[in-house]
Amino acid sequence: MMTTMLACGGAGKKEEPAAPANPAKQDAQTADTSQEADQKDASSDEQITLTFMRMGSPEQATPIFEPIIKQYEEEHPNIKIDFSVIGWAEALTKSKLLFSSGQFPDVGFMSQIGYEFAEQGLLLDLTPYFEKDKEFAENFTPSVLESVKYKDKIYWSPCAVGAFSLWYNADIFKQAGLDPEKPPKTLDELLDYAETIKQKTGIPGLAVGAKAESDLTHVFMSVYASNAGESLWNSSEQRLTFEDHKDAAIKSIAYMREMVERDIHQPNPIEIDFYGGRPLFRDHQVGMILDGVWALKEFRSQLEDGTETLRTASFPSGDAGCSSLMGIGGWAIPSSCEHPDEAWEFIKYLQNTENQSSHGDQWGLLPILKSQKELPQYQEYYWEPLINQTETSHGIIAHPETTFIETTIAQQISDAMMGKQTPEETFDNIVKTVNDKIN
Amino acid sequence: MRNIGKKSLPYRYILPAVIFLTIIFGIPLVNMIWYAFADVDIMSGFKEWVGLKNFSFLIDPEFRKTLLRTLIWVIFGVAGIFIYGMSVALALNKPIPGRNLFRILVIIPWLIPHAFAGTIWTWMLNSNTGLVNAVLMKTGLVSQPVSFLGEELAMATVIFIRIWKGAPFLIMSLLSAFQTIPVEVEEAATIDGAGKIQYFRKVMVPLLKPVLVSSGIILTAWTITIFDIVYIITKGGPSHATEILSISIYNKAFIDNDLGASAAISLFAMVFIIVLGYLQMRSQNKVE
Repeated sequence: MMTTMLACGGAGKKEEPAAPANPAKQDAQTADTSQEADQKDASSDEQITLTFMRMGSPEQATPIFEPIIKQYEEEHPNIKIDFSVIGWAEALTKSKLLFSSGQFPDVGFMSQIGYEFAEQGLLLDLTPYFEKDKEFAENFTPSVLESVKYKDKIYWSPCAVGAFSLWYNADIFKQAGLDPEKPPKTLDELLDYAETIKQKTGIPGLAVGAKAESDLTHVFMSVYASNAGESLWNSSEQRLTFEDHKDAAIKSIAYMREMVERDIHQPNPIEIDFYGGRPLFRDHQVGMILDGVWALKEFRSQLEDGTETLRTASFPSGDAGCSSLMGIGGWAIPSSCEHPDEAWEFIKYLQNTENQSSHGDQWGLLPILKSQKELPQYQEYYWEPLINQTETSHGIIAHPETTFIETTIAQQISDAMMGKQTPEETFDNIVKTVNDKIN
Repeated sequence: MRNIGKKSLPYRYILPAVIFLTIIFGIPLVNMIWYAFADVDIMSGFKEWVGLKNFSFLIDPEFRKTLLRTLIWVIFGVAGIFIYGMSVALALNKPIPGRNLFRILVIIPWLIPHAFAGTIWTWMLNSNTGLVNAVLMKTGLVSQPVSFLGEELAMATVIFIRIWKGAPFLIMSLLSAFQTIPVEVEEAATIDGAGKIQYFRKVMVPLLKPVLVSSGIILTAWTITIFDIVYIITKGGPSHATEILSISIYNKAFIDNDLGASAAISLFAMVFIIVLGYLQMRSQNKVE
């Protein structure tokens, strides 16, 4: 592993500058390139191969994108799309290695790990493209397009949006004497309901994941923002808001600890992350999970069996209301791309109503285009709370050190949940470690 | 002239291999040493020289804990491989029915890719959905699921998996080495009144020492540098419980964006392995 990593000759030896010296010049070059592309004959004879990558599992991605690619290649005989999939576990490592060797695909999926790449000028600023293609841009839900910006620029066209919500099992609620039409509305009610379920049925009321993974950070950020009334991360000032809301921060850390302390969860929460609760929820072995639209694909058969057993609801509110975390992934173009205009055209094709809906439906993504909202598939009972959640959501940490910050918070919250340190110690550790890194 | 040509012939034969090895190993090695004294990250590359700053981990209490965990991982892992591997090899050296089938079965863990093995074991050991706990609960051996991947047992669990994965190499090496021990030696020992344990300790082990030493060096080096299986199972957690050197190296490079510190730790690990290997080989030379 060491040899592979250190054999990367790309680091420090790029042939092109890593960051444009003048972003305005980059914008001008992009605009010029766009104009040149407009002037080209639509049926250019130049054979172009575009590399295209999705993060996820090949079993999931291939059936979604192969038909789209095939159709695109038929409509554009001079373009060939070379498709690949990077697993989530290796997404960060592989993306860095691809960028360092100048081999990041022409159209590649990007998520919060992309802020680091954007900061280093490795991602093309797509803002001029959005400004040029107004019809395409205006079809996006405005809040989604706004949330994906980094330093007022768009570095990936949002296609994969989801926010944390509450999923619950109506049958288990009934067994516990709870009304399925009245899911918990507050964070305190969430734990009380979970306790009632455990006491009355023996089934864990809430799947709790204390493993130090990024989704633990995301759940914590949702709890914190719901208590503090503000996201943990101040994007414009590029800093934590922890010290602005110390009481809310410590209360939120204590809440996470309470999730483990109270007898409401499955055995050994340290072994799983919050997403690890999905098999338990699917198999009716837990009453509730905190998860997003991404979980939908794992419950689809039950959601569509007509029983309405598995249901969705808003993320529970804290002292300052409800504010769950919203993740936005999308399609990015590396700044080293040799065919940025062709890459952009392919992105637009990927995100026409039909293809975006196919992608979203099979993957478990929220409808983010205005043209999608009225489609029949989004009228099912479980969609409304998930879609409405975006109105009470906030964005992810947007900073070049997002990975470090999320990992730090995850580790500290995990330690707090397992009782290894007090909420106050956790607060201090997070503030010190993150500030030392970013300042 | 002819003498020079003749003398240089061996070197000319090995020259392609030397060039190949220099490219494959030499360039990354030079890069590693260079990065260890620099501020460098994967995408920006070299920024500036920082002298010994990247080696400040040597006085960091957290690194000392990582080193201790690595020593526990290596010592118990390698010792476990030897104990288990030797036992199985001795058993498979006997003319038992189905011996050939058993010999094939013991190799299977070695053939399974690390990533696949890590994923399978993670699934099997899960408290809620894993096969192992299901069997333990069903048979009444435990009343609550055992948290194999919790903080208390995580290191023992990954060491167990290391032994399971690494023992086949030793077993195959020993089975080959057993064939080099003449039958007459065992007969002579028996005639002289040596019991089984005496024969093993005073005859077999000395004869097997070259294989044991070389296998020990290889297994130790492998165990120190193993990353994927531990990363997949625990990612170095929970709460750093299984964070060994290789995980630390990865975290420094890809999470902390500090390739310089990562290279410094790698250099430390390399020197450690070289010293260990030298000591073991010197011990073998003394015997010979």
